[in-house]
Amino acid sequence: MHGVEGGGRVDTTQLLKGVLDLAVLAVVRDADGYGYDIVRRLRAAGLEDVGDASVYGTLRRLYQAGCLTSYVVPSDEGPHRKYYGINDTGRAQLVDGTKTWQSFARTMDHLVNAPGEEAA
Amino acid sequence: MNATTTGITPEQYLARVRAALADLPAEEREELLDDLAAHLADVTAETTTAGVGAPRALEDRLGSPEEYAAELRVSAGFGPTPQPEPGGFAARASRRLSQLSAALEQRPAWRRFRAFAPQLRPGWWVLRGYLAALGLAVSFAGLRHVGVTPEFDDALLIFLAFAAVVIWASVWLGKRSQAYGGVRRAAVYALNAVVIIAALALASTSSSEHGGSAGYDDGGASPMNWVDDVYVYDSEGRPLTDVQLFDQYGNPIVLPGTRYVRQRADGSIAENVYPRGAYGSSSQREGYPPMDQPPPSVPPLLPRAPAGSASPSGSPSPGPSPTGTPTSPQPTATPTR
Repeated sequence: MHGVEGGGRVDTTQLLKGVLDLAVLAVVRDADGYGYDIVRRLRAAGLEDVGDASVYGTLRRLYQAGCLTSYVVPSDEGPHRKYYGINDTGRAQLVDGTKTWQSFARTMDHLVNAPGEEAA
Repeated sequence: MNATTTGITPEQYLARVRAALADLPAEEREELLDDLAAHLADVTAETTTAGVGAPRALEDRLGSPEEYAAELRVSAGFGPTPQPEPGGFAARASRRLSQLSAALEQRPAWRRFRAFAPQLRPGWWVLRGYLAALGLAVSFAGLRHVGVTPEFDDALLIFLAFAAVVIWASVWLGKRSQAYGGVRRAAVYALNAVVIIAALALASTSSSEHGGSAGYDDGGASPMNWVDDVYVYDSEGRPLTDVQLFDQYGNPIVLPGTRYVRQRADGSIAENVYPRGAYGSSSQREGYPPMDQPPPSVPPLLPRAPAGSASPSGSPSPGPSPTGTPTSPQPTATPTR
């Protein structure tokens, strides 16, 4: 959960920081979910290093930015749950972010897969 | 939802995260914590049902509350936790205070008290006025007091009138100061602190500690404290002299006061010889008013009903019986060693 800053080492936590918004928007695209639910979806999708607090913070920030809607579902036992769902702004953000990510990922793929070229 | 964690309960975890977020706007902080309460419940339920209800389950899963708070605030778009300024004692103190108050807010008992406390305010104003009046009267007018109550004397009525005025002023100030802010509010707090400290000082003292009936105390709560001489009369009511007194364990009874020392035939010193009379009794010492003197003789005892020997029961003799049991028929008050 705690990446080593600097030192040239790349770990998932560092990478996640930049793309967590996109990841969260992606997992609520098809179904609303409450915080822990979304954490589980991200982990099930392979982002095992994602921090609970990061997801909750990101949800809150996306909601504040108007990309998510939220509603409270009372629970029989325990505290009520706050569900988050995507709205049009969020969808637009997701489309935008997806394009940015794909272009970035292509560039990175290209960079790391062609070791001889950057020297030329 | 019960936590089986022995390391840290969800409530404690929540309180510590709340404390670490104390500098955020209240509304934003509560929104973040609202989610966290549900989250902690989920995590706790999960670890419990998985049989992993081990100590520190929450911390193992989520990191320390402070780490959680740091991650939460950064990902929510707030800056990192402000570092306490190294030299700024006041800044650190106020930060600690706001953490404490955040932790207190978590407790239902405190919230009930907070809701109830405003009703106590007028009572405090009256009390503050009374204490201030008492402090002023004791300091400047020499009012005698016992703890936080004035002594009943001629000045009492004047004090009560004065206290009424000060109480009125205190209530007036109390109503006005609700709207105070900044320096004037601080001044009212300072005044309250002075009154409370003065009241504590008053409560622990009493002006009658000096003077009055200061007495001789040889230590211990013995019923013999005020006895420093013993006069002994026989069954005929005649005074005895040079009587040696012993307690029920055979120890010599040496009363407080100037000792009257005699020597026994075996060479030992006898300090338990009574009556001391002019040798040591405080009633004879200067500086004391003359007191009642013991009579030169007392009426003789009636004979004991079954036997002819004298009984100590009902005896006017001031001397203690050498035996601890009053029913035992010991005829004499002077045992020999």
